[in-house]
Amino acid sequence: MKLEDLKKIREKMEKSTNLREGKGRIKAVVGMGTCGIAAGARDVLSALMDEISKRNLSDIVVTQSGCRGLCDVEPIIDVYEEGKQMVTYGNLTPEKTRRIVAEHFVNGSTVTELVISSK
Amino acid sequence: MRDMSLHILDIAENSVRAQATKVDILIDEGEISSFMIKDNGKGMDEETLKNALNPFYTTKTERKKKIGLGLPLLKQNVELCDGKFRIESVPGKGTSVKWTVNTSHIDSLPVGNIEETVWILMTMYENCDFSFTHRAGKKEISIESRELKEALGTDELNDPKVSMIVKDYIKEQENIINNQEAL
Repeated sequence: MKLEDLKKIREKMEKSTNLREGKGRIKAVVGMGTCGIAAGARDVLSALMDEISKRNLSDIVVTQSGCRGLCDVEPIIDVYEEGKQMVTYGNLTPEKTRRIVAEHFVNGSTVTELVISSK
Repeated sequence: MRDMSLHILDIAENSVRAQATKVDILIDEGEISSFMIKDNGKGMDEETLKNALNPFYTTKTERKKKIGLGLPLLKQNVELCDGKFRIESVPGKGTSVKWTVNTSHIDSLPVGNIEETVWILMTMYENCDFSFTHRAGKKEISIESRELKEALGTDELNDPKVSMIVKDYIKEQENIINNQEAL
């Protein structure tokens, strides 16, 4: 990699504000096993990161997991929130994912019609 | 999988699960395109390696259904277009998966959106470093996640803001490969 590129990247980083603090209020885990990827999980993860970044949400942690046996309803996102039940959203698309960010992460209400299971 | 970039995302996940701390990804595009994913993970013994291409084999013990489709699907797609597929592994050293495709074959999969794949690998798998080299004709780009982490001053590239900086950079680099020379 070129030194000037790395320098540019460093400058961008210095300018960016509102970086994530601590472990976050919400943890969102996207299923990225073979089944998830084949069903479109990459686009879902991409939309999730994009929407969170656009909305400046600094208290959400996004990670990935392998296949967890829900292959038929992939792509899925598990949402862990302190003091609440874990919610699994399934059959996702980038559009549905952006809705989850707006309605669940920002406004705090579960998008019931997209929920596959909760426990 | 619709294209090679999705296969690469899928196969590289195996490396991370095999406790690799470094994964090298290489794409060399041409009439015959070649691909490589090489890791320094725990590797496989002969028995496991033999089974790795069996779709009804997986080392994932938590699974009720014993299915592991990643490698078999890739091998099938490679062989459909007269390509060659090879996997080598040394226990304790690592595994490499290499394949070629004949790009003029009607069934050959396109490379696809490789920037998304590289971005997700580099930002979402915290404990593993990736290096990505992409060649096409005379052009070559190379991206190292370790260098990005150092430039950004953080190992947590999955922070949405940081992640977007990385994404922009990868996109910029990929544009160098994809931009056709002006006619």
